[in-house]
Amino acid sequence: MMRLYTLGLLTMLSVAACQAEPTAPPSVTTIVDPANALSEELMVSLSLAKNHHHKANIFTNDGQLDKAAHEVQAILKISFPEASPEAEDVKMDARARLASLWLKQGKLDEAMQMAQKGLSEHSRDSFYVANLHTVLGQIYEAIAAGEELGSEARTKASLQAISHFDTSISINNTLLKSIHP
Amino acid sequence: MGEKDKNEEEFSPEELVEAQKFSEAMQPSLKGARLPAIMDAETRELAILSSIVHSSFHDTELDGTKEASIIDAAFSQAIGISPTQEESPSNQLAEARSKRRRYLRYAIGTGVAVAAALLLYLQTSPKVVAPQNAVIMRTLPIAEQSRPTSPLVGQIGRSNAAQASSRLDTIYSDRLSGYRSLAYRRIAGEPQ
Repeated sequence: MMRLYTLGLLTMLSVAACQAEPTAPPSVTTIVDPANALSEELMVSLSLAKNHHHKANIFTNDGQLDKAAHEVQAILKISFPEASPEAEDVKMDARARLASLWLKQGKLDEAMQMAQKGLSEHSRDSFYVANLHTVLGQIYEAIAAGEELGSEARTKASLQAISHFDTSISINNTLLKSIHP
Repeated sequence: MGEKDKNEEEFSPEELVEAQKFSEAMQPSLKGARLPAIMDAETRELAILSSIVHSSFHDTELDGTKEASIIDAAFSQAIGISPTQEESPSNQLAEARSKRRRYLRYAIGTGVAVAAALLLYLQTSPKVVAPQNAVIMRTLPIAEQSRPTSPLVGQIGRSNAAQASSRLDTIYSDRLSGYRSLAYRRIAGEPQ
């Protein structure tokens, strides 16, 4: 009887002591990098784009513009970190290069579509946007120089070309002032 | 005095015989025995009176059995035990006290244990609060941040418009330097 009683008391105290122990995990201080920290993913994406550009250089120097354009198109399919400023710049430059390649090949429609798509996707002004306006101006310049169009259409294309060159100049000047005030 | 003696001499022989019988009948009672159950009222009164007179002039001591019987009866009345039970009241009283002591010990032990358990629970209850894990945002140098590349590559003129590859080389080299610095600091565990 006495043993049972003692055992009961000890059990009760043990249960109370166990329940009383803090069950919550210890607090942890975590140091995290901001979302805009350079990441391995970004470096891999940049490296991929770099390699495609160098391959495109080789094909361009070899006169294989289609293969060069194919390599540059591959850059547009690379998955960059979301909202990465480098991604927007690199893709904008790739679009400008692709549009230029097609311009050299006489593929004016494809070149114009590529340049216009680049301009429609940009989130901020940059030297790449200015360059795209330059490329677009060159495309309109090429259109204006074509003999198949009438004089009115050529004049209209010339005006478009001038407009894009002016926009490019404006963007460049603004950026240069902000970088070197 | 002489008149008193004269009155005493007036007892008749019958009265003396009766007194002698009464005296003999009272002897057991004076030694502690109970009075006979059947007795006329006058004789009972006389017996009680003679007991009182006797006890006033003699030191009467009860025998051990009688004394124990009286004490047991008093204890029985005090603790509410029937005197008809076989065990003697003094033993019952001792047992009752022992039981009471045992129950008291259990009650005190239980009370102390419950109080200790409650104290443990109440003391530590406030500690069971979910800890708030602190998250500190590291501040990075500009070179280790993802950022626009225009300041790095500068203006893209007609002469270098086709040099996208060269521009990307410059960008990659710069960002690799920043990323390497960040990675080294992470490995070193420097909190910045």
